[in-house]
Amino acid sequence: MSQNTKKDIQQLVGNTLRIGVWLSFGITAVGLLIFLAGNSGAQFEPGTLPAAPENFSFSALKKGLFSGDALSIIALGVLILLITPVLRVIFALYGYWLERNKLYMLISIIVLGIIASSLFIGATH
Amino acid sequence: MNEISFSLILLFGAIFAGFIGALTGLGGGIVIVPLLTLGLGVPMKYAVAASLISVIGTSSGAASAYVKEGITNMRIGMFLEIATTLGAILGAVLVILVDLPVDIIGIIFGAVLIVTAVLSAQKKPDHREPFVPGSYADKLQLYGTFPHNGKEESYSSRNVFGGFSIMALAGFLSGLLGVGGGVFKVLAMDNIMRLPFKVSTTTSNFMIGVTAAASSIIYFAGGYVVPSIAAPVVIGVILGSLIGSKVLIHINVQLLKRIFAIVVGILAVYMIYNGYAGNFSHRSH
Repeated sequence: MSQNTKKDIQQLVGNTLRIGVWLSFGITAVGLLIFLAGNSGAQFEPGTLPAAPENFSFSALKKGLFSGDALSIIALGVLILLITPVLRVIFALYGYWLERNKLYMLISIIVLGIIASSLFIGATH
Repeated sequence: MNEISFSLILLFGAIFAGFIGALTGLGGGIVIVPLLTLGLGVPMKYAVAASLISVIGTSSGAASAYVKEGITNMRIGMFLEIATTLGAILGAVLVILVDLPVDIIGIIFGAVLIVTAVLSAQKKPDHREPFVPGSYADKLQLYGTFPHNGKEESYSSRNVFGGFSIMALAGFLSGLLGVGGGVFKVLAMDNIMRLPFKVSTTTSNFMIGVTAAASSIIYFAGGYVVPSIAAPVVIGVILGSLIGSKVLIHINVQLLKRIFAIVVGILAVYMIYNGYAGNFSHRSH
């Protein structure tokens, strides 16, 4: 791989992190402001949170976003922050593919597989 | 508590955590969990979940603020991420599926804080290991070059499997306690794999976000990420780490690290005492 492509990928990785963090920041902040504006007098008792909450559901998130639900907007912002490091691994995999580095293509795929498995483990509680 | 007061207290706490995290390189997680559990009465599992999100925020924020990808060794980071992500999943499983008693988690948290304070106060070694053909470092391509004092210096690694094991432990503690575990990652790469100090620090930062992503996805999918807790934490930590990285240049870091070591020590005693007294399980049922 030429020095230029390597630089390009590093730039891509750096930009992805920056965009991911600020996008998450912006969406989360908007969600929190809408939420607080609509619940200014509400009480929040952290101690009453359930010991075993309901699993996260994508369809509920989608539904909430379309109806402009503030908590769903925040959840979207958090989700973007969660995905940012995963994208970093995917870009690294792409870089190893350009280098034809089979060992590290395999290692990146193993890491992605481990991360993907956590999605299913979390939903089994 | 009033929803707005809760958000504001948490927001300022998170700004402080992100600020301290960026200045000391220790991450904000070690401040967020005590604040949420003992300060605001949030149940441990929810506190760990929110803290892990903040760890991703500081790691990605710091990495994008001073991207030194020329120093980060992506291959070493990626290889060791097999260990940290597996460890992180195990830690999260112990909390969520095995239901490890929260008071025990509090005590482990305090013990890890003490180790963190001791390790971060130690002088960091700076190694240059020669490349040994046929070694595991050779087979797994765990070597590289980095710019140092204006020239490219080459290095290799040793004790690959020792480093791999400590990395699994670092990941485990991250998933269990909601911290970045950067101190343990640097320990594995500095003291065991004998990598140059600059390489281990930047590579550790690269790994923290990916490790925290693996475990926080479990908490997220399980419904433990509550938007009204996560939002002030995410916003505060990102702002705090941004401010921290800006003032870093104008500040006496050595003095700050010493003050922080004392704060961490006090926090450690406080966590262990409350765990021993059963206060984590009393507050959250």
